[in-house]
Amino acid sequence: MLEVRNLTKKYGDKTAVNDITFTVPDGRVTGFLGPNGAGKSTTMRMLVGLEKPTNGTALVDGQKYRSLPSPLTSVGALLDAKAMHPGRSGRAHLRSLALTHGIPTRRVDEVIELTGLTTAARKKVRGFSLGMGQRMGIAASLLGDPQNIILDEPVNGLDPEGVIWVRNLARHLASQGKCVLISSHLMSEMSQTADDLIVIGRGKILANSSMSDFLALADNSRSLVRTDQREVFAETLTARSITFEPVDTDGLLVQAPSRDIARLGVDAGVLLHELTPQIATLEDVYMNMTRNEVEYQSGTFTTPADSGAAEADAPSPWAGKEAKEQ
Amino acid sequence: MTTATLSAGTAQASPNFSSHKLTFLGAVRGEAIKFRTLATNWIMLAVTLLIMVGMGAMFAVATNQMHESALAAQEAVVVGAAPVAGPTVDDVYNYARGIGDSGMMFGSMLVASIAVVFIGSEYASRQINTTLTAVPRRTTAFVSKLLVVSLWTFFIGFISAALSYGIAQLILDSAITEAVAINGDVVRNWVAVGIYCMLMSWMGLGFGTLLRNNAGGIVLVVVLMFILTIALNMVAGASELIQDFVPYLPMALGQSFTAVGVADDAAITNLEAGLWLSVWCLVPALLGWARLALTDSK
Repeated sequence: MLEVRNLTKKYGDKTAVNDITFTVPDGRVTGFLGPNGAGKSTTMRMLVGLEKPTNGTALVDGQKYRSLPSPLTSVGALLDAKAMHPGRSGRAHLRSLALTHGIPTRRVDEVIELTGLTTAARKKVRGFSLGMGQRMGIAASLLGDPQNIILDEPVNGLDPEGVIWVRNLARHLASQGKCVLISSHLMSEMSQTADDLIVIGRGKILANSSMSDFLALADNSRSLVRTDQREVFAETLTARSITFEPVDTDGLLVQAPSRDIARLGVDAGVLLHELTPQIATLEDVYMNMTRNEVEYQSGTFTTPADSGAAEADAPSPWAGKEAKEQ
Repeated sequence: MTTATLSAGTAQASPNFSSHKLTFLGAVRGEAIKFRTLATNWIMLAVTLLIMVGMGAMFAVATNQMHESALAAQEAVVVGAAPVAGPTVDDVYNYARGIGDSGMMFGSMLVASIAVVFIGSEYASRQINTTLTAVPRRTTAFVSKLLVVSLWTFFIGFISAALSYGIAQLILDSAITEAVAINGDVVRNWVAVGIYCMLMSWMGLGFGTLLRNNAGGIVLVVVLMFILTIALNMVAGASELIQDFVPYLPMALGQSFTAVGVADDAAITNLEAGLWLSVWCLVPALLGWARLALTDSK
């Protein structure tokens, strides 16, 4: 079990992790989500003693990592796929780790085989791709068959087979009663892997719940409508003060129950040839939750057509949406 | 690249290594295999050996010339001529006994560099994170590295000195070789060269850990060993204080430490030189340890 209590990490004036508390239980896969710079990696590094907390504690099975008598069999951590000397072979790298705890060489070969690196293990690490580095890092984390596993972005650079394998591995380890903390930016992957979620943004915990509870936060009251009379239907919606936004050339994303929308279509004499209730994904909930917690905000792409439309004075059929937003 | 399937069978066969504890000996063995499995280390050790032995051979040639000059000066004194400044025959014999340390000046720089790179490359490649995850007790991690690099550098220093002496025997005039048969002074010189190399590796490892950078660590060693020595020697005439300090610079101390035939009442004896040199090398090592132990690994 991993426990974080009132953990804070400051670098000068910047607070990377701000008084966070959570527990990662045994027998479950806990997803650790957050935008870049949110403090995920820093938290993970504090869990394995690579960084000292400014305040608070990070415990592994009730002990500080540095106090563990057998760190590698207590925690397996993949924090950086390329944290290996490029001039050494992958196998030698794993052997050097195994020797520290007296783990037999046969176990090194076992984890190499398990991660599919048998043919590459004797080659120098400098020739490894990112995916091979990830596999080697996962092999290192499994070396001591640890009770707790911390994987920071383990599927980065992996091929689809590797991604599925990591998912199965995490599920398999949890089924053995192990504690698995895994961070990823691949929401679809996380939704299939994690039982619980911890969301962090700007160093603070934004959510800590089971996956189902987290998805229940979603706004599932929108429906996608497609019609050949979009402008007419948009005016109908505006007249009823129903919020909507355009989708493609013939669609509207309407903030209302599907049944109500269908009734409106019938009343207005507008044929709706698609009416699909929108079920929010993990990505939707996550994006909504972290919208204001992004450290590094990406720019938006504007096409010339977009800017032209923005400048146009023509009456906007999307007045309802604009009116609602104001 | 295909990963193995995780089956229920795998789960049942899951090993249990909880009885396998982290030990100091294990940490040392981990560092030892790390040192052994890097081609760079072997190349640098081989270069160190070649340079030290090569310098020994060249110094043997020079010793023959010094021997001839010393003999000529000795004969001149016998016939009543004015004494000529230069090493005496006994001095030359002592040089020949201590020929193992001829290439030490360059060799020591190389072993210090090996030590700098041993730790500096871990920071450069971020391997240090893996190292400290496996061995989270920083003192254990540092001392293991220090021990491994100390053993290797002592070994290469001792072997280089012994080989230099052996090869020099093939080059030295028979009059010299007959007079300087292997004895305790000769073996002590080899051991001293080994210790000197070991101490230099402490300095290298210390600076490498302190700066967490290969280039920075090596530059610092060069500054301390060469630049400081040259600079202070140039201005030694200007100040008595500097004049008194120059023999206590690490390079001068190294020469005093390994020298053969130093009198017991000399200004700096072999033992004193060794102790002062240890201080010069221990301080960077302690600073490096402090940085590793007290700060984050980033």
